[in-house]
Amino acid sequence: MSQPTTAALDGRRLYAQVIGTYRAYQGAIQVQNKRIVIVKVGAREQDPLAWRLRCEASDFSARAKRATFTRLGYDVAEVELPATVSVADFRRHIADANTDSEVSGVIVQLPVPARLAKQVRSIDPSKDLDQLTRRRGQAVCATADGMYRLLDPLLTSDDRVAVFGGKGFVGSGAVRLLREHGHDPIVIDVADSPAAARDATALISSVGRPHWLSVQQVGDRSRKVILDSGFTPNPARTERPDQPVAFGDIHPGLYRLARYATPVPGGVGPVEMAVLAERALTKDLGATIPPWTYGGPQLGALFTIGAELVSADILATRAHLAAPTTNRTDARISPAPSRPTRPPSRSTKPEVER
Amino acid sequence: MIAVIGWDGDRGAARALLQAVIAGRHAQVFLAELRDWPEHDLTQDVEAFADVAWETLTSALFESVDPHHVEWYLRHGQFSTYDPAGPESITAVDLTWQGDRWRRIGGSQAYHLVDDATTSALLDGLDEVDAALQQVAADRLA
Repeated sequence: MSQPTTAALDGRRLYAQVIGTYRAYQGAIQVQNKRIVIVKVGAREQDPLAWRLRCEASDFSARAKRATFTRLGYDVAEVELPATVSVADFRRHIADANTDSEVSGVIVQLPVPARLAKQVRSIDPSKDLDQLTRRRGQAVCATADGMYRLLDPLLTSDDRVAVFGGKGFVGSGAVRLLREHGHDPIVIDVADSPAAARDATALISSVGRPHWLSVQQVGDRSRKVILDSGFTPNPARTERPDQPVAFGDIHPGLYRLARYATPVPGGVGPVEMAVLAERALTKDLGATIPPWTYGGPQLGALFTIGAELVSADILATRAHLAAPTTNRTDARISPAPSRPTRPPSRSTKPEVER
Repeated sequence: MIAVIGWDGDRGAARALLQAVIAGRHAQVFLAELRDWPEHDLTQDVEAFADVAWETLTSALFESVDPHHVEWYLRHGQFSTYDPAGPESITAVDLTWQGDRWRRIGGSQAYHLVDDATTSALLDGLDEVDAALQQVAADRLA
């Protein structure tokens, strides 16, 4: 059997397109003196290595958020709490951010110890950029949102999607979006047998265990797409700089059987940041912000301007993002819905190679 | 004793694992937060759970335990969530008996993370949560 050539779903390119476009709003944010608060709970030296690596991964993510929001003109405040922080202190830090009128968004870096996990829901819903409060009827977390945006132009109704870690925070969000868009995903918890995914054409993993999903578990059939939101820092890298920065959930042998796949790092992570950027700007600047969607590996990010989907390159030639021209035929890629609150449905997606 | 106790509140039904270590009129009561009820937070519902736990306890033990000699603890770990959980932890809760019900003292200040050595000692006297749940399920079938 000839193996397909895997095309990377390049999150960094998409991030550059989205943030490059959204930087036009930096001045509008700066004059508002808006701040984003990122709350982190650390690990202790005596904690298990797997947990310390989780917390280290969380630090990577926090740094990426700081960089993203700073590029958009926000002040960013990081609140670093010890692993032994009390419930009362944890809630107080969130409450302080909730009541501070200059704070636009509050993000708690996950994971937190289980005893604190549900305290995260005390975030003011109006400042909950990452949907950590998990309120019914609201959007899903930025990672799941980003993963679905990546999948949307690639999936057809014939595809079967398996979600590993589908009961967790990220995975359950992906499952919800898939169901809302007419798919019937296979939901697999870490305690379940991965073999249920043998016939799936698309695999999503948000488990956070390095290279744990392999051909041995799910078979060697080719897949259309694999999305890997796992990110486990490589502890050997401190002594071996030639080693990878981090490992995803997907073993390379399985990754190579996909036609499209997200690399780790540089896949899902940057897309998550692009979603958070859109959410923050939309919250603070309202309807002037063009939402982005993913046009597939060739097109990258597309922006909804009025009734059009416009590429980042063409959008960059326009002088004023806040009052875009809508009748330029050279900029038009496909009809777009009137200002969607979610990524456009498959019926409105641009044509891309499948 | 072990039992799975339930409570119906504004956010629907919830369950927690009750484990109690009895010594004469003294009791250490542990409530483990279980991951299959993600809408519920024991720290928000602890008084209601304590009332149900107390009823269960006294029914089984013929009211031999003195409510003024009860220590209450919450147990959190991987059994509490489908996401990474960190090391298992024990949180002591300040609850006071008011004659017919349990009340939390001090709002969110009522919770005190137990230090590692004490946690280890307390856990030594308890079954692991998954094993305890299997035991409860087996007892129901018997």
